[in-house]
Amino acid sequence: MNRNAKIICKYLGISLFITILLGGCTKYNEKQIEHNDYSQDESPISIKESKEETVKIGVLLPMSGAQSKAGQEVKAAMNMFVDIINESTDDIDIPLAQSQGLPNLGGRKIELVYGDLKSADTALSEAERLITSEGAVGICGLFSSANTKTAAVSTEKYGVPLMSEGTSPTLTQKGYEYFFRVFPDDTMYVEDSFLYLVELNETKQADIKTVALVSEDTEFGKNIANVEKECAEKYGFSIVENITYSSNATNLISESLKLKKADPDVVMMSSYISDVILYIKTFKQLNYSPKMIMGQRGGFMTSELFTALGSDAEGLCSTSAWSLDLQIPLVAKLGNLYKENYSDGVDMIADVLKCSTDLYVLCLAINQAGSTDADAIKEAMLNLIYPEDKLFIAGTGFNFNEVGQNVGTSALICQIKDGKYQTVYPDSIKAYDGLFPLPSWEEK
Amino acid sequence: MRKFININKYFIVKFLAGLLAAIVLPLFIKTPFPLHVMILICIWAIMGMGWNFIGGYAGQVSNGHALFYGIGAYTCGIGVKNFGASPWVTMWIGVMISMGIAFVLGAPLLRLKGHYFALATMAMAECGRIIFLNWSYVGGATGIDFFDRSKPSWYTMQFTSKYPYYYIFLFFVALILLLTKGLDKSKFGYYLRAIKANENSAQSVGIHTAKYKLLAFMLSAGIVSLAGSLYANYLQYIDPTVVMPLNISMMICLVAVMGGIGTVIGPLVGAIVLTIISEYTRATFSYINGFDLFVYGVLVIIIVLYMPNGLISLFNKKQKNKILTPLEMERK
Repeated sequence: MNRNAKIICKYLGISLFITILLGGCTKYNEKQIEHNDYSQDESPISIKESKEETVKIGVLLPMSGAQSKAGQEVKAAMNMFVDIINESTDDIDIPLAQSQGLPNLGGRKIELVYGDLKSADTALSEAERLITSEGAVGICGLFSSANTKTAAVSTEKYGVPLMSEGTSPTLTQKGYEYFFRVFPDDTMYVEDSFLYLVELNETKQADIKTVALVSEDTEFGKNIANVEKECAEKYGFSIVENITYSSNATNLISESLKLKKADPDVVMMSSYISDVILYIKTFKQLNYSPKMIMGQRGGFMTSELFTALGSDAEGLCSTSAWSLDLQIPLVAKLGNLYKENYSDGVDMIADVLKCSTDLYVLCLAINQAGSTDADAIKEAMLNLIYPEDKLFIAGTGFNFNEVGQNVGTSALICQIKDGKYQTVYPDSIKAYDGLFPLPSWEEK
Repeated sequence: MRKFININKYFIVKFLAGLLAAIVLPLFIKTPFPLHVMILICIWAIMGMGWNFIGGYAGQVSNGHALFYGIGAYTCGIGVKNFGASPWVTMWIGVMISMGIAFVLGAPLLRLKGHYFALATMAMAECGRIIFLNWSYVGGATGIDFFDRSKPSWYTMQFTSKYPYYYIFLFFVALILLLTKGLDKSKFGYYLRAIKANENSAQSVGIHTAKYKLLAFMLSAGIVSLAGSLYANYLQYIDPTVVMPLNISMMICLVAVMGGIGTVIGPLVGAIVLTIISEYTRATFSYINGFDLFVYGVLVIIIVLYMPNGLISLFNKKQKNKILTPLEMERK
């Protein structure tokens, strides 16, 4: 054999090894995708069909990094809903709990397949892997808006429903076909924040006139800051400071000093957990206490807030879509079930419930469709039938409009009291009158 | 021309065999995920080969190439979204802009030595990221989303299948590999190696070091920018946290260093190994919190410990007996 032939054989051998490595790590069968444009393409690529007994749902969660704790809690809550659906659970009176598995699919059970959500670009590759290699028929998880956009490239391409946790209003303006959002978008949350301030001025003569905006510098913070500016103008509040900072910051003293100097009545923050902790500790260090600190979920809706700040967290407000104190019997039951059997004694918080509700709603739609076909699920989602007396979220139910937004949802404002979130707005469902203004650091 | 490009016969045979294997390989893959991994390999290989000119051949370790990656991605995104231009055109505009910026920034920065250059380039990339985060014309923090499932075509370089992406990216990998090979044994390549070995000595024998370092920096920036354009078109959504984070700059270095710094196919080998390890550890261990990063880290440490000349030393027997530069001798 001459040298050239040896070289060719060597390279073909290496490529054969890589093929085995790449292909061997991925399970598949030969089912062609049938429910979207992809099938009409020239590509012979195929995805895995769920021939197994289970219906697989892809879950993308942050498994490492600053948000991994939140990811673990969401995973636990999702497992709770999977157990409720897969096993007959008489205590929890919600659809699918009394049967085993999905009755309209012959009792097929739900199986979750996980992907790690490290960044927006991994959202694309993990969503793709879950759909094509694991055979997921729907995707849900703890998404930011940026992650949702890249994951949607995969879900739209393969025609798989995506239950989004991204709250950016732009997501419903993109014409996604398989996109669904069960809970409110930023506009609704921010609007409620300002309505609460108006109510405080009217009922408690709070005399709130000025607001300072503090936002981390990626899409989450910046989008919310834009909506906050519009709402402040609409409701007659003046913005005395608008701070943008990097969420990787390890020192926020100069930002806090700016706030102290501007002395706003309310500080509105869009921050991740590590920043919230750092800000509050810096405020305490500087002995700065505004009348109100209002968070826009993110770091304010994590259980780590209580463990890290202890009594310093008392009185912090946050927008939310759910709270354990909602006057609905099912809420307490679900909360107790989670606390006793699925978490280490940690209360369920709103963002955890939201993600697991996304999964539950997807299961409802799959069952109502009686099929795992994406178009059938979409159709079922748009016409979802859910008894109002079995609701466990605020609002009127699960009524998705043509762009995939649930119009039956509503936002709440919660305040931390005795280490728990208590609903303070809207008036019709509030469980606590609210603390205003915030006490000084010595009094806390 | 003969002096400029010096490619021997056996390299051509190896190159064609490798290219043939890379062309044939996807035909045996039936699921999109491995093809996605191969696309990522192409992207990282282009970036690694680009960085190799300044970091590998010229020995000027840049930690700021995410800036050029981002510029390439944004030029493509803005061109497609705002002007309806074809990425086939905008990617070259991105290359021009990146080379222009590399020229402007490189002239003062390349006067710095060693760690100072590395730190300055890192600061340069971070400044770029912050500018893009706050620049409303380029979408600010919201970024640019140009996903449009209704318009797959060669003009928009948007496809529903992954095969066209793979073959397009492979074409650029092959092109840049040939360019690297051509420059490897050219005057330009030797000048850069001389600068890397000892800049003062190189200058004393008449090499215009400032000029050649700047040329290498510009070439490097242009190639990395090309990778940014291709990736943006593949991802169809970009924002500063996706295309300009600091860890992209670090990963570009890692790909080249792990594969074999200052070698022709080192960055390609580094891209293949690192991307496969990264993607498959994540896929395999995703249910255990953070374990994939642990496995990835351990594998990287093992490679660095046992193959300090990079993975290429596994294939290249001559590497063991090669004449070491003073810098390499000092390291040994």
